[in-house]
Amino acid sequence: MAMFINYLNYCLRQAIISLSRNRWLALVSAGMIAVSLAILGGFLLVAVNTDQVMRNIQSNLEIAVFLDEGADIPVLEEEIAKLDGISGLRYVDKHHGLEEFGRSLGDEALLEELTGENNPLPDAFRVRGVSAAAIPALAGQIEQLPGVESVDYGGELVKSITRISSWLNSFSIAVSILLAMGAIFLVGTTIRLSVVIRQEEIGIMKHLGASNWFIRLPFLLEGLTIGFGGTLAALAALGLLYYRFALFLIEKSPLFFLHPVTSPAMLIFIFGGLLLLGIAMGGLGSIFSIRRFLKV
Amino acid sequence: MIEMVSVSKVYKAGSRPAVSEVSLHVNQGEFVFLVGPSGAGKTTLIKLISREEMPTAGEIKFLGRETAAYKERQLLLHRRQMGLVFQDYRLLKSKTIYENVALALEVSGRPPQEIRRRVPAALARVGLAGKEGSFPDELSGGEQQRAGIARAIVREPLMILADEPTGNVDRETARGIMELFETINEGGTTVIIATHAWDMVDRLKKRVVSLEEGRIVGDEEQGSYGHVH
Ligand SMILES: Nc1ncnc2c1ncn2[C@@H]1O[C@H](COP(=O)(O)OP(=O)(O)O)[C@@H](O)[C@H]1O
Ligand SMILES: [Mg+2]
Repeated sequence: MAMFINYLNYCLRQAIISLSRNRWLALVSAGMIAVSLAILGGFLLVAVNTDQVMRNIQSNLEIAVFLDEGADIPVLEEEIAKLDGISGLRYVDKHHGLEEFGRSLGDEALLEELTGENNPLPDAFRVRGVSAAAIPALAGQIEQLPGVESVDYGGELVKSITRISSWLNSFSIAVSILLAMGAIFLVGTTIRLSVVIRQEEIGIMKHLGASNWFIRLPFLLEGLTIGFGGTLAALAALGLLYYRFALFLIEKSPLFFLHPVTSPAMLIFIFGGLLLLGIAMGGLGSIFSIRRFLKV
Repeated sequence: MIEMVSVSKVYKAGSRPAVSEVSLHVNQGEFVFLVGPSGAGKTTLIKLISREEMPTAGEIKFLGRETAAYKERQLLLHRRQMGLVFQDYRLLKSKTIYENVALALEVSGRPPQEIRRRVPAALARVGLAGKEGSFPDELSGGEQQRAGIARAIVREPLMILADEPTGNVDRETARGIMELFETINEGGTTVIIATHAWDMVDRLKKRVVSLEEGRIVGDEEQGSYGHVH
């Protein structure tokens, strides 16, 4: 055990010496890791936030059921209430409908002209489903009922957000993978240079009876350090940016469903995962070079 | 300590063996010169003993153990039990004399306090006290070789293997280095030196093993270089 600590102590010092010798290449490699992780992390944060916004929207999703003039309201109400997956049902006549619309615009006076005989809105039911997923099917069933003119549940909005975010996800994963591969390659190049610079030393150490791991470990540590440094920089930048963004949304959000993800568990998961990933990238780059260029 | 029985080494299939059917016994505490013209196989013989090379035929035993059968771990221990000294010193230019010597202890996982104690002692033994902080390029050839010897003895090895240790220094300096090996040997360490320095060999009156074209052509207690020339 004591021997192991002596080894580790030595390896750490070697790694630091190597890093300071190749500091520019090491910095570029760390920078590359930082950029690729910042981008991946940025996309991840966007993804979890979109996901949350979507869930906010969906959980507030109502089906607006617009009725024909002279529809049999009590009968329809009974029919709709019998459907599976309904969690709420209320009747909003054209008069209340207009009031609600006015309130949602924030200026009730604007619609004064449209009251009474001039009201263009039909009477309506507002239907809530037990789950967002059930909404499209429910809407379809209700539309078939006699006396129903049309239904509307913002399905197009949800569908297009889903489409955009899934496209964004694939794009960001592809970009991150490319950048990560570039970063790993750069770490590998840095380590390769360290190996070349220390070729003579490696030969002497072998003569002196150094174990393979004793020779390899400094290079592995060097790569891990580059990974760690790069990731730390990325996480600091990302964390600061996200903090600003979240604060802004909380204080000034224009829309109720635009609320940032602030769950500590989720954020620790993302940032911790990125940290492990960055260190692993550094390690991978050095293992690659150690296996290819370090003949022990 | 070393028992070689009809050891041969062929580097490239079909070429003349660098070492041919050599049988050699070296006891603990002996001082042995390996002499012979260039290309005779001295370096190869040393590499076979240090197990940098493996024999293509025959058997080499170190402390009763067949070196060809070593496992990874035993090979490391084998290397740590001997000190190697080279003609070109093989010191690391980017490290101080202290760090160069300390490396031998670091690779075997010795604790820092032991390193701090042993390195200055080894440097004092070879006459380099006070040169701890110097870099190899700041020292003369003789001093660099003394540093190389300090690195070889700092682990208190059972055996020192030196390949032309005075090949790059003048005669006066060579004498001092040979005397240093003699002192080390008096402490009980086996010393094997491959050399061209015939005047040293003749002066020291130690065992002399002569090689020619890979074969042992002479082996004398208190021998001299003369037989080969
Ligand atoms: N690594 C090697 N590969 C091929 N041939 C070698 C190698 N090392 C030495 N030899 C050959 O083996 C013979 C003995 O060389 P060496 O042991 O270096 O002799 P010495 O040290 O006595 O000059 C020479 O013919 C040399 O060319
Ligand atoms: Mg030679």
